[in-house]
Amino acid sequence: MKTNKSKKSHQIDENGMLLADPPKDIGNKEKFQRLNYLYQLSTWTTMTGIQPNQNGLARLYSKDLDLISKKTKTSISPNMKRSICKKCHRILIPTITSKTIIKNLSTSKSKKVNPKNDVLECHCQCGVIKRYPIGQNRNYKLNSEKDNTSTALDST
Amino acid sequence: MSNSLKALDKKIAKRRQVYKPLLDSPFIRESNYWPRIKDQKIVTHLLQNSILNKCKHFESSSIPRSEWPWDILFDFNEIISFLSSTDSHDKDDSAILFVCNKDQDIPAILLQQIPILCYLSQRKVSLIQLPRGSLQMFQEAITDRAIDNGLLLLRGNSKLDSSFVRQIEYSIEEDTNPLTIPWLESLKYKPSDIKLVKSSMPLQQNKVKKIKTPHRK
Repeated sequence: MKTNKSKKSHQIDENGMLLADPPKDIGNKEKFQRLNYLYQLSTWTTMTGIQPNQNGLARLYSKDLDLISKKTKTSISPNMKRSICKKCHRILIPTITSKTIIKNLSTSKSKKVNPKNDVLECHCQCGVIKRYPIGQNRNYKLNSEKDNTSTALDST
Repeated sequence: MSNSLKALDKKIAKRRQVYKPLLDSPFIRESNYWPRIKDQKIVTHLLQNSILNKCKHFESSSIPRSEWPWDILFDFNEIISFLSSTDSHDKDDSAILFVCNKDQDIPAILLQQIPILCYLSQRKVSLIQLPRGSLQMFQEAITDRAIDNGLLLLRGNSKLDSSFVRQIEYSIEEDTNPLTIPWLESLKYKPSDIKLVKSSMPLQQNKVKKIKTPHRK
């Protein structure tokens, strides 16, 4: 058995990092599936809500989602987090629960506004504003979108 | 192969690669929601010849925008307010929205909202995605203002020549599939999409230092 172990060659990259293959299976599958279900349920109740301005049930589901992800230390993608209000836990769907606007607060004396100061503002119904400085780097990509390997798990 | 101390130092592993699971949104899959156009060349050609070249000509002859033979919107805020407005007398207005979603320099977070906005709008909006390089085409045609977001909305109201609208819509509708966002109406449970994000961690964890307690007599 010892000889088999010694035969395994470990690859080291230029930065002195020991490379490894991606795992075939992931732990905590059930927790991820639970979070996924809660998110979808929250979106569905937002869309088919009886009381359009309150979304009480939908907010409850997404609050549960947030709590469970923190308790179980399971990470959620930034794209998914961006679609949930941090204060009232509403699912942010444009024209239904949120409004989007681009603001440019350039204070230069010249009439031309600097496009680098463009800020995308997402206004939730509760009054909270999410701000994304899109003018700083228009080609900005999230780390999870840059270089990764993705696997889709079959749900049961 | 250099035998410098730095090169030798790099051969010894200090960190190891790890994969961290990350739950991705089941809905944010942009490519699924953008309507596909079979022949983009025809649409681009039609847009350039019928609209953009004329816009360029109007601008060069300094004709004010209110006198143009159509209502055209470039600003993101104007387009959003047009799509989300609920005025009853304007409901019958149709609109054609051209988006340069393949070009660089257009923030992804801005483009994510466009298909949903068009789908939820009370107006009839035909969403057209343009091929790469269309943003430059816009910028060449409209020079008096910066077009950074790659959006062009053409209102199909009474101001516009009806035969002209028919010609554009006919050529577009033939090649365009209708916009569908299934999760906004009848939701079907989607399997969880878990990504593995590459990361690294040190090979040797820092040992917890034992706090020296003074001997008690």
